[in-house]
Amino acid sequence: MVSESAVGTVILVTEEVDVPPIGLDFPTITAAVLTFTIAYVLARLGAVVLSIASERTVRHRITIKTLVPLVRFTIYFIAVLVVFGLIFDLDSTQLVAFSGVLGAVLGLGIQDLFANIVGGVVLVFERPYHPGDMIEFGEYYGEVTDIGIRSTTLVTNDDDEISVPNYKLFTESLANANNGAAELMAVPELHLADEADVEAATTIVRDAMRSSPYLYASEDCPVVVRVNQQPAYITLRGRAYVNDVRHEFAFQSDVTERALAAFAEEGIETASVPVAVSAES
Amino acid sequence: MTPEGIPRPAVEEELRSLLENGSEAVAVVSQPWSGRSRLLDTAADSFERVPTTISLEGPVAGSFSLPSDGPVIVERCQHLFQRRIGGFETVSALVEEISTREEPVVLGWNVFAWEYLTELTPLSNAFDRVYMIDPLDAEAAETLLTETLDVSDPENALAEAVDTELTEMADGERAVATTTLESTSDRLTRLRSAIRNRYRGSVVESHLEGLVSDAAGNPTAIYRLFQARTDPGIDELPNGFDFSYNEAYVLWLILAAGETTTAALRETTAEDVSLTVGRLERQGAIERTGDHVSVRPLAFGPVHSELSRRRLLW
Repeated sequence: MVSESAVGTVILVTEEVDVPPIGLDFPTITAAVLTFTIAYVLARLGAVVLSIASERTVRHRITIKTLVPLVRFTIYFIAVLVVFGLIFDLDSTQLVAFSGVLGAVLGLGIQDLFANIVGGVVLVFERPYHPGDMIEFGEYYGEVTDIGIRSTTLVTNDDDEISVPNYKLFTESLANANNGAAELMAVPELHLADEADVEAATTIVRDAMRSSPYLYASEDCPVVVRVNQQPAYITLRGRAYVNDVRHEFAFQSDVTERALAAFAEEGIETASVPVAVSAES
Repeated sequence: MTPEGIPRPAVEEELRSLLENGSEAVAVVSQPWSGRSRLLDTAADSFERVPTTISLEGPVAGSFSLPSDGPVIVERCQHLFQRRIGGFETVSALVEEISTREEPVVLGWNVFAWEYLTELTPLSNAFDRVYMIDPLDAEAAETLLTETLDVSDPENALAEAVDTELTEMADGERAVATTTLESTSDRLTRLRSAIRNRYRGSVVESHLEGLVSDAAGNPTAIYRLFQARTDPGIDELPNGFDFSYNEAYVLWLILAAGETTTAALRETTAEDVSLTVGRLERQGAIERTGDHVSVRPLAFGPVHSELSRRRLLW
């Protein structure tokens, strides 16, 4: 059948196809709503139970938290299948036709949301990061607390909760500091005056790191102090692993605080780093 | 018999043989409360000349050097370091001294301090031989209990103790209902004990396995735990801990020292630890004798689990 629009500029050509029977009666809608509600409750419940379980251990925390998005996606996926089964009775031809319509709708109307959902699925299976990892995503650095269907949630050092759309995974670079491990390298940095006793200061920083309560002591993760001569001062950069990613900043503060106190006690002069120089470094 | 004096003939023989074979520098490493002191006492007979024996009772302030002449045995060497800035110098100096020394030397170390130091310093390189005293397994624990306590069947003895305790609980409840003489806290203590033992009886297949597990294989803890459990009415086991990270860290310092003082803890942490120590003591993790603090042998297993859970042991 050929038809012409009222203004005569667009011609729509349609063929008669078997439209799948859509069971949008009251009981079906009720069942669909009930299914999604149950899925939502189950997903929330699963996330809560797994989160509580994960917090009971440091060693397996990240592994358990990794299951949260998997469980959530699985539950929602099953819910969608159930609801489709309730509403449509699709054979293969109808499925193709329906997919085309769905694709057009998604492409035109909710492409960002769809991109986020695809990003979420890719995150779950490719796993460039897991809940519990410390990642740098764009301008933000923090712990991944949740991988949702639409976005990933980070909690930064300042306790800000940042929601990053999942599609950004495809467009922005990502740095993962621990990649599923409980331990994480921390790098405290101190500045000495040019004429300071570097050897004594290095020993103090090394001792401060290896005596910290937060240290992960292992031959595979050595405690190292690197000395850098800058134009007007000397930088001591410590490198050691903390036993829990959440202790990164506590470790840095602990080491810095005790090392500075020991510098003062030993008469080791620290540098007053000019703001401009500090920003460049 | 003192708890430190529980004999382990096989271990003693092995160490004696090692020393007689001419090892110059030997580290003997074990968990606290494992009878290491007694072992080193018996090791003294292995030398042709009478060795100088030094037992470090607390943190060593300042320098420490070994007597230059003849064999030397030093026990509790974990007191040679303190986990703070400047606290590793004595150990570093000792490592250098041992590596140039020609006379035999035997040093006893707490395993937790030893593992920490060997991960971060070249300590283990200074020794020809490191002798680790293994924790006891269930079979060895049974032999030890049989020999030292004259109990022919430890499993049965424990089972009888459980029955007695459950019966006592029932009697106690009746007493409360009729005379209200028993206080609520006593009832709760009794109930907790009974539940724990019922759990142990039904879930842990072997009482002895559970005993060894709770004592983390530590022979002295096994000995005292067995005594406590076979003595009806005694319930000294901690029932789970609620520690902050800092409190757990102080607990690690105590465990790694074996026995230490609140003054030494204060020096190491640079903080007033009296509240922390009080809290650890109230929860049954440590015991205090005067100013000295140590992990309670009965709490050894739970303390070990708690510190492992927080990745303070590795």
